[in-house]
Amino acid sequence: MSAERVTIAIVGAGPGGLSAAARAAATGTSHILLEAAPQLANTIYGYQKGKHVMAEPAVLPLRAAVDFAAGPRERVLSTWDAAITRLGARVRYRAEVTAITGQQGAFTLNLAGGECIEAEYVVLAIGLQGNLRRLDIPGDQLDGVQYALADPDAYRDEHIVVVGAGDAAIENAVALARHNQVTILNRRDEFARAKDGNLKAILRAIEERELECLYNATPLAIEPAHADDATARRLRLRVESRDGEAELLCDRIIARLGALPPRRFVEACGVIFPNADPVAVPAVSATYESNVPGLYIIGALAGYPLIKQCINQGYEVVEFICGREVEPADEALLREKFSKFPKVPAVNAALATIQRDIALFHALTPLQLREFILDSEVLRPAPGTELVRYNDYTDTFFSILRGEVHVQINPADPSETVTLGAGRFFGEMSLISGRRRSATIVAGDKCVLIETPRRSMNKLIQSVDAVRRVIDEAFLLRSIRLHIAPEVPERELAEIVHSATTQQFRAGEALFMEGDVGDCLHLVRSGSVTVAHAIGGREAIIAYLPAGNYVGELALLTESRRSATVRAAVATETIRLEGAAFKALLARNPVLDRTLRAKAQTRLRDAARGRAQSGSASMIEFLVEQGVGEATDVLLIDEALCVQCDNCERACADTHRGTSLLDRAAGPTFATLHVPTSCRHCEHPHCMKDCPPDAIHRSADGEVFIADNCIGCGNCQQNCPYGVIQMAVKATPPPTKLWEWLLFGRGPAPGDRHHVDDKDAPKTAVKCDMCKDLTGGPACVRACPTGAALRVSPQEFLDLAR
Amino acid sequence: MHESFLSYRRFFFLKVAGAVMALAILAYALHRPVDAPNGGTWLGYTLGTLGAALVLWLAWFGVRKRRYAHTRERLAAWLSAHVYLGFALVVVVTLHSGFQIGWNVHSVAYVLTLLVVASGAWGLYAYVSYPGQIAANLGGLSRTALIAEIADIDRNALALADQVGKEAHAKVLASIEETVLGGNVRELLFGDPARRAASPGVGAALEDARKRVEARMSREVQSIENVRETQLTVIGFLAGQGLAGDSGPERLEQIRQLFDLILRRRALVERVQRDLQLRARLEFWLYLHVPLGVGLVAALATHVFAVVFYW
Repeated sequence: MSAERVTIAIVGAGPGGLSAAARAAATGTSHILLEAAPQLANTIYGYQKGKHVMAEPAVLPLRAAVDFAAGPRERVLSTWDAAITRLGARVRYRAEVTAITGQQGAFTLNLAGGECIEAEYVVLAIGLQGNLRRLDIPGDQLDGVQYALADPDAYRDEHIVVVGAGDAAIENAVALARHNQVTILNRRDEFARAKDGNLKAILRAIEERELECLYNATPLAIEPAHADDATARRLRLRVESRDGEAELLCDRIIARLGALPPRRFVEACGVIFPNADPVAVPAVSATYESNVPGLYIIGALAGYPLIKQCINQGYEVVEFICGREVEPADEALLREKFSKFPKVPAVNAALATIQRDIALFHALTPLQLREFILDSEVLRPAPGTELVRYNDYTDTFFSILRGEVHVQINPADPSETVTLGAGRFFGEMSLISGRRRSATIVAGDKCVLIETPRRSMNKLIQSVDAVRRVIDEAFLLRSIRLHIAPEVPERELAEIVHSATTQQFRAGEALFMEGDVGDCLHLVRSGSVTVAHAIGGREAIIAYLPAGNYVGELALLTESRRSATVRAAVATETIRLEGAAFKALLARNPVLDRTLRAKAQTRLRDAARGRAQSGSASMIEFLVEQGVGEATDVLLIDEALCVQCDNCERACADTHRGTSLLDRAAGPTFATLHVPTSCRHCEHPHCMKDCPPDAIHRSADGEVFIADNCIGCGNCQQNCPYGVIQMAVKATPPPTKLWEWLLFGRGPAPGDRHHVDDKDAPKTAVKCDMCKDLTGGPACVRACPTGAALRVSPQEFLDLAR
Repeated sequence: MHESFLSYRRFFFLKVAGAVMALAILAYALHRPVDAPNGGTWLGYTLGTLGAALVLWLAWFGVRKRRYAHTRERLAAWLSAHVYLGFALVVVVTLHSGFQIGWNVHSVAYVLTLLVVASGAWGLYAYVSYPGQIAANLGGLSRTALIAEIADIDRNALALADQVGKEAHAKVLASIEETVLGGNVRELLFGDPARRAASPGVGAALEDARKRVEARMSREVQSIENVRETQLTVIGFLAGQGLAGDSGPERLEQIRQLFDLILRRRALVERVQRDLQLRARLEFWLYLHVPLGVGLVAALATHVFAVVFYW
């Protein structure tokens, strides 16, 4: 059988793939679009009916052969269907590509049915969302085995096995259990990854026997059940559990195991991944070409998750393959950024200069650098301009392209400065620790800087090992100087920096135990720790120390055993300094030795005082349990003062478009101290982790807030472990008229919840912004009539509580 | 760390109110009017104006507490001032009247002032004493959580009672249906939460069973091993099965669990009733304070109008 030959084979009919096929069709290039699913844009097709599809980032112009604008799912899909038909693009559905071999000019794509397609060029546009993690056991392709669930009410009276322990698996299992007999298979012995609400729901359902749960159970194989089986179930699932192997007869298996880059497949095509991280994506050139010549990668698999980016790349990649010069869609945006340069250079020349002059960026691919600059701002501050201010909560990262900056190392004396020159960088301390700025930095002469937002920098750190290494070393050296040995010159610290390693601790894990031999000192790099003494057989916490503090110096200074147990309060990273190197440093620096001994004395005194007051110990314990170990500002209510008038909630709703962002009554209480459900403005906000349009930011005063470019995807709501983010309709309620309401009872009362009935109205995420745009501070605290509500940093509170 | 409205800025407004009262009393003592002291002298007018201004400013609190955006002072500061200056108002107004009280429109304003301040004082007592009791009663949970737990127990108790027997199921069901949380104002404010938690159905049956068991115990059983066994007997009676009957150990265990559930439920219902009561007591004064306050503003207007036009 002779294989079909085309110029471009496009794999995956998501937004990127279909855009590429549309452009190829429009320019008369021979092509084929191969899609494993029976329709275009399978992931978006799988969205809930009527879901509003967003078109971020708004600044990026759309350039493609297909149209795309924000709107309901149906309209977006029908626009694409129409465009593909109109342009006569060749699409083959249900065509799963199993292997890609060969080289530029002669690629062979094997399809699942055994057929082959030959192509000169291949465009991989398979994304991540379509690549759900599969069961990977014999029989996982059988009818009745599925990896998604659109409508749980579509199934009735079936026996369904749900595999997985995450939120999707739990939500599916609980919803299916309404009309079906459901068994949920958990490979581990608890539902550790699930959100709190889902965890409660599943445990309740298990307890009420609404569904059955098998813990520590691993699926082994799926077979079709025998037709003559009396139960008439379709499938037979073999499972290994602690009690040995078992068999489950069922009608349907739904595996919800998450989505990942389809690494095995992509690597089999010859593409190299930058590191072993399962979320890592392959690096591509400025023309989207991978390390395999002729094999192009676009879209989420290349690290571009937004629909509009994918569509643009689909267009561009066809242009590049056909040898046409095309200015990237973002060229104009970059040119605008470089207009700040003293002499406006061409975009490519400017990018080359940046890469040459700033050592940190040597290892970046051209596309990574482009993306990085696109996210960043080029600044040309006048000499003396304050770039970051001591104690601010800003978290951007600065690279110095020209000129110099002055770091004020002593907050008390601004004239004491250290100068950083071109090619250096700063801002990594706050970026890594999530804490306030450690120094004020002002611009020097003829200074040109690149300011990069936290997320873009973190993305770079995660994807380029060389960047991570350089930043880690700088962080190590600078934090040792800042927190332990400010007087010691940099070169004398070489030995101790060399001996230092970073260590990770899970929440609750011990850095060291009371009575251990002390062989090192830990500098808390991110997260926070608690210090506890064993009193009466149990650990009583006597202190709480956030990032930037060090622990373990007492044992080294006094040559004794550990005097307390130190545990991570939240997931924590420390810098471990070896005892020998530390002692050597002290021996060379008598001044440092004296300072540290004086500090140690204070600590011993505090510890003794802490032992005497065990009441505050349990208070600290309670607050740490509530996760305030990672909070920067937490709302605390004194229940002995709270008259439950809910004026705090009304104030919040009144100042935030009719939605109260705090729930006073919810949340735990210790003695009379109540921690309501309200944002804690975490050091490393969980909500920021996975925000496609990068809409969540931290202001200089520390508030974590959601900007207007939120696309309403709900990721932050899912990622927040404290349940303080809500999805609300993007509408401004009519202003409440106090007097009309007061005198005539007309209109809504101030602070009434605003309800929008329109179910299809697009929703966006809302959360506490600490009323950063209002004078006088948080409205909830201002509106409390009795002084029961208080917003405070936990450290401040604990210091005062002691 | 938390600063109560009472001690706001180290009792700043208590000091202010004290100063106002002291000044008013001093002026009154030194003042030698031609006639007896009354509202018509220069001091009377001064105190009257001060009193009227205070009344209006105190009433303004209702507006101020609903202004949420762009307020500089905390509402707690306003409440602090409201409380202390409210008490000072009594002195100012009394001195303004020169102790001349009669059956006229002016005295209406005076009496209303006293009533508003008295209801406010009750409110102050409520705000100081009930929040702590509410917190202690809830024990760190919310009322919603307690009610959810009751609903949970109801479900479990019904399932269990169903296994125990028809009669038990009917009794438990009746008890669930009879439970009324809250009640009318009198019950809410003055009812006994413990009594109201015990539903007549199961409650009466329990009491009845207990009496019978106690009677039988005194007659026959000299050595009941432990309390648990007593409970089993009670529930045994409740479910219409004697201990010596056909009930096996499994049935007894179910009965014991049911008994535990019913006791736990009763405790929870009592806590919810108590919470509702404390909340009602915490808020009830406002239903007097606010209407009386509005009445006072109206009476004050009448008083001023009468003075200006008919004096």
